[in-house]
Amino acid sequence: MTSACRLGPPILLSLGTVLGAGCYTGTRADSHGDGESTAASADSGDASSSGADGGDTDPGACASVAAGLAPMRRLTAVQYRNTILDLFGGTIEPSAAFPVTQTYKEYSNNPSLNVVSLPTAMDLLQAAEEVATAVIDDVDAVVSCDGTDDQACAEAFVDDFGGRAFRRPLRDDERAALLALYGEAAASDGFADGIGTVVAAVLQSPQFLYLVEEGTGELAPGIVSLSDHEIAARLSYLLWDTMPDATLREAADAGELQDPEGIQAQVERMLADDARATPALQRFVREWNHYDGVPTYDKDTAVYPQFTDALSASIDEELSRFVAGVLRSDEPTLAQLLTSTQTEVDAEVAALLGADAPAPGTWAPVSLGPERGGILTRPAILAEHSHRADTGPIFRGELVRTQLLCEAIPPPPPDAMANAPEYPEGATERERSEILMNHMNCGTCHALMNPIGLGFEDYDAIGTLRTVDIDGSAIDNSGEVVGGPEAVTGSFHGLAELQAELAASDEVTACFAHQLMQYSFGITDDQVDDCAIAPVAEAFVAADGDIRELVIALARSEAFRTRKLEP
Amino acid sequence: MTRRIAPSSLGRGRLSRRAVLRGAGGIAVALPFLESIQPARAGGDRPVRYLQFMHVEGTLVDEWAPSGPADAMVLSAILSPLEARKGDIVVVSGVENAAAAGYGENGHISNGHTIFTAAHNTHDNAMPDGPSIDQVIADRMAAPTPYRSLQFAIGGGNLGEYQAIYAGAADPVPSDTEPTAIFTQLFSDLEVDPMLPPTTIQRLHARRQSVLDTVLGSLEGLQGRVSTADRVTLENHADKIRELELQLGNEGNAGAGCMTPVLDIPPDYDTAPWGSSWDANRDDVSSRLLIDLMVMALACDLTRVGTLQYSNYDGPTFPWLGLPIPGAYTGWHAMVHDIPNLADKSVPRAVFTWYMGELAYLLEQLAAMPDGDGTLLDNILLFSTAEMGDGASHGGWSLPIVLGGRAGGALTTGRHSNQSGHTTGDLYATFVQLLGLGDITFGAPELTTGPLVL
Repeated sequence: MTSACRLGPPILLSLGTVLGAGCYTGTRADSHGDGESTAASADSGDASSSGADGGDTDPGACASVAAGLAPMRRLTAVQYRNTILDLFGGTIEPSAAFPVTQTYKEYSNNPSLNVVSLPTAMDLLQAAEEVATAVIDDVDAVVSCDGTDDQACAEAFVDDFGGRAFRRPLRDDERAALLALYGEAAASDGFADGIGTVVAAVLQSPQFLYLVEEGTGELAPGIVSLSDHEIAARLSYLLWDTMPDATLREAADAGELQDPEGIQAQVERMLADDARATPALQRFVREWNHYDGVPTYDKDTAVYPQFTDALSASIDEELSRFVAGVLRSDEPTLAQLLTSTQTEVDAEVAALLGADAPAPGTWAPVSLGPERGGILTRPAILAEHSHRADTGPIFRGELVRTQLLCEAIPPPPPDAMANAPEYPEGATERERSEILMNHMNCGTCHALMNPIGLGFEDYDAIGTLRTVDIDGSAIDNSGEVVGGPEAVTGSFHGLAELQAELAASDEVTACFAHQLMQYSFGITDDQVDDCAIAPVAEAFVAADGDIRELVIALARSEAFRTRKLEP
Repeated sequence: MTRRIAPSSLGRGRLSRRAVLRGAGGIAVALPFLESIQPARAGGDRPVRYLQFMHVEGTLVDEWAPSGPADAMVLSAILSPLEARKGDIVVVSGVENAAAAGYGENGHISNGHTIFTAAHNTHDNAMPDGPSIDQVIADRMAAPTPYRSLQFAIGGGNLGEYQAIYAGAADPVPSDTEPTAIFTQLFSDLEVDPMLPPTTIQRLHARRQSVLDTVLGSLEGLQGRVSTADRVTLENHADKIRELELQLGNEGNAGAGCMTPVLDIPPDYDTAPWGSSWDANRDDVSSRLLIDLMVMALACDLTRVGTLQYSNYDGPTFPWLGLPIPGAYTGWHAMVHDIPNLADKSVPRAVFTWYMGELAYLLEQLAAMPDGDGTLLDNILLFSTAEMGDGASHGGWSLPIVLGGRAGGALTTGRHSNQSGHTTGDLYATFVQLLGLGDITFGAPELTTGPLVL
């Protein structure tokens, strides 16, 4: 048992030494930090969020079934778009009226920011009607009746379309309700309207809009087994950001997805489909890095006149190509994500990177120097985690602390901004950090962020390398990871060194697995069940951080086939 | 410009789709359109509407305000397009959006997210802590209209920074931007010629109730099959569908001027939805189209609360004004920042004056729209402001505010009212009073002292 739940302790110990009693309560680490060397139990992941349960009743014992929470998650705007294209075989254009997916430092399928408001309900209605209009106006492109009568044809359509849209065979009551709608509309306005009205209802139905996981029965108290079709949907939205394809549905129909071997066969097949798998994994990497694009208005164009819409788009594309390059390489590992110097550039981003520019409008592979290795040196990531004109040691340190080390940072006290220190005009970020760290008790928590972020000072607010600071002095790129895992803790100089240390850390590797589970299950970091993630993280570490092996391990895990109903 | 709102070209008299449907299929459904087969109830007892109009990049604060006595104001050059409607407005100077300064985001987000909310930003996600005034007014009105409120953004760019409308804390209400989509949504059921076959969208609209009932059945049916947290999600969703059904079932109380608007869209105008390829240099076209649509939505009582806001603060070069923008600058926005260094302010003055011309056009449309015994202008409280006062510094003080309409008789117009020392929170509480909706304090409490005397 101990080996299965070994994730917690190194993180706890390291954070504990930093925080002492001076920082605030409520961190994930704190609430686990009661000294147990195996601090996991089936519900330990959630007790921390309420802070009510400082000591788990059964430390060191995972429940018999390693299941995790997975709240019902609504399709994101990306998933909706892909799903509509697949549902109609590309003949119908998805509606732009579908609501924008809100995110804030959580994965985009996390339900908390995407509750349905009245305007959302109206948008969903309009999006469904827009698609239904296209269906009605060209019904032959959607339904082929092959000489059968309208009623039989409609029944076949409802079974097929409804089953694909709901990602499982329809229940009798669902079938009857949709056929009643068909009948009502067809009676007054004909077959095409009947079909279109069914489409309008299906596309607003919760079975379509949410990944509903009812399960097939209790495996243990409060834990259900997922159906084959529910597992298929988990797989397809994780790996492809869209609905299951015919092959996956057939595997579900055949009952092959309760078996880890059957799941692995599908994962390997799906990962081999670059056109679908790469964008989905790119999206994970973007969200993991809290990156959602840096529009020109995010930057002070008086300071960065070169930061045009074209450059903003190019750094975004460069990030995608860098990630795709690692994922498609012979070594698709986390270590490569953190160290690879291979990427592709166009003329815009080449100018920023100081690389040779290809012909305008084209992209070419380049090999860059060590100062441009790894995801953290991508201009898009650096620009995202910066101020408008200045670098952002706090943002950059926070990124490393929460997303790479999986350590929580307590929220600032309510009066933090009111009591913020005064900075002298023209102070460098290093000088400002020094003042902040020594101001009142700010340093207790900012020690988790600023010293790491100062190691990013080689890069300005749009990610350009610089050698001279704003006061004319030479850039000092020394940073320090206060606390943290053994391979990472202590001082470093610049991002090449920091990322090499991160890449060498088993804890960082385990953290990445933790992030993928959050992304897959639509949960926050404190909702990840330690027992559910432990075998996945172990397998990922054992596979030397191979991201494909991580995906396979997650999909094969017991947690992927089960669901814990209540926290 | 040609006349944009014209009588329906159908010319056969108006008949509601409902009548057709009842005759054909016996389907009695509640629809978001008028019983146009009957004469509109055009008595003197018309509802009072609230419309807010937001232009962008502030103004020239030093020269914007009127001069002369309060009740015999002399309009500035920037306000001069309003001369013909001077008797129908109150120019309000000196009001500050005090929430913007401490909001902690860039100048556009800080002003754009607080201009109607007067709220702080403690969620740490750039969104304000409370609702916008229009949504509070809509809540208090609880009007029996098909739409609780309508919000149109002219131009479609920078919508994230100028997300101004909130139903509650960190609960943004999206704006519509695309004229033909808005037209389809609002007016495709308004007048249906029984001699012509109904369009696809008209038929779908006629079946909304059945479709939503089916959706509701699914939402209710799943609730017993999922976890407690999922059940909360489904119950909330079901509540919103019920609200939507109620809203769509409302028919409002259309005024005598209500008819299907005719959109005069130039053939080369890009009607792509928000985002992709919006051409900021057609904002002159977007502006008139969306003003027309809003005025008719109010006339038809599709809603009683509306927002018209510009959102392109950066992109337009205002080609219809023939100005040398960008000149030496990277764009219009950069020029605004440099206003203090401009020896000749004629270019920004012309742009800010253009916005007042659009406001004048809006006032003309309201004045031309029959409503009860008078016009829509008699029965509306129109609130115009920029998102900031001083464009150059992006400061929230000295907002260039113009009120229009008589709010059903509650507002005496034709005056300049200096309200220095007061905040938007004070002003918005005053609006609620003027609309007969009670007494409130609005926005961050320490930034308001209560209603003011206009």
